[in-house]
Amino acid sequence: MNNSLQETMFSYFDERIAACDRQKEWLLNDERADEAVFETIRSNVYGIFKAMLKAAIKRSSSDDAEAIKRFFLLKIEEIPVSWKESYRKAEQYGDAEKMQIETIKLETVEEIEATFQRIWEGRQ
Amino acid sequence: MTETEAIGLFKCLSDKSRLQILKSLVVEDMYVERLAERLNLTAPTISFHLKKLTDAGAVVSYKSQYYTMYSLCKDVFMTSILDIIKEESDEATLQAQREAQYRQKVMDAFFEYGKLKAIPAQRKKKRIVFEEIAKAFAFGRVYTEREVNLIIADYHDDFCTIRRDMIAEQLLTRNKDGYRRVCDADKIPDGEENRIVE
Repeated sequence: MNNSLQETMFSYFDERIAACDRQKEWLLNDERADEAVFETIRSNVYGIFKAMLKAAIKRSSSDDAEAIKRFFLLKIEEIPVSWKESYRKAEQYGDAEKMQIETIKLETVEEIEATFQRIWEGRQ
Repeated sequence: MTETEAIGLFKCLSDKSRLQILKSLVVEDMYVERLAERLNLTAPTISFHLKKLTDAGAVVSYKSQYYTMYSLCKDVFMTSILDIIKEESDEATLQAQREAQYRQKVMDAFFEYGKLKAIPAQRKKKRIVFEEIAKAFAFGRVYTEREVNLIIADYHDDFCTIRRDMIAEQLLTRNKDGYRRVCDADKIPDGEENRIVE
């Protein structure tokens, strides 16, 4: 059961990373290099949380879905703290470039969390 | 527009989304949400591009009621590329400074109390040293060989070698009347030295 959840989550990460890469390629071909960088940022965030899920599985017994969930959600809470702070500072100084980068990261985390909850809770 | 500003502007313009924003602003001034709708981009993405365009001097913003409006800096786009190219380069000034520093280093190494310590072996250094000695000769005046030797001897005992080398370097020229200091207008094209030196 848990292996199936994990596989679904890993497939989700892989699909999103592949989609970012495709979008990045398209944007580069369309002479929109800065927006292509945004896709790299998005892809990196998926990569970070894919690694976090791997770590959660490794440190917990692979059968313990609750332990995996606790660790993963803890990381989803912890990691974006500095991004939120960075966004707040950028907003204070009107740095639209930094704000955009932090927004992408925070939006991606929100999406990951929603997807994780949906997949993990859907087990019952 | 300085060279650095021009590079910043060109870099900024080399993006399709930013060009699309400028194409919209050339029609009329607009605010972020309107541009986002027109170009099918998110408002933060438009803000990001507008910040880059503002920093590059291509766009300015102003407040109008509740909105921050953006408008094109038409003056920037009236500047011709030829004008930008003609602008004196920051890099050229830096190169001149580096060249002056190098010259001074060579001078310090080969001259002591106004005397040449040794004739440099390296062509570039030799040229710098001979250019300094050439300053002792007045433009337009014709010197006898004896006068030339005496002037060069003030710098170094081997005046014969230096005199010949200065002619080879086209700093001095010789004809039947005597020796003259070469000014830029007198420069002989490479390989044609023998036509003048008799």
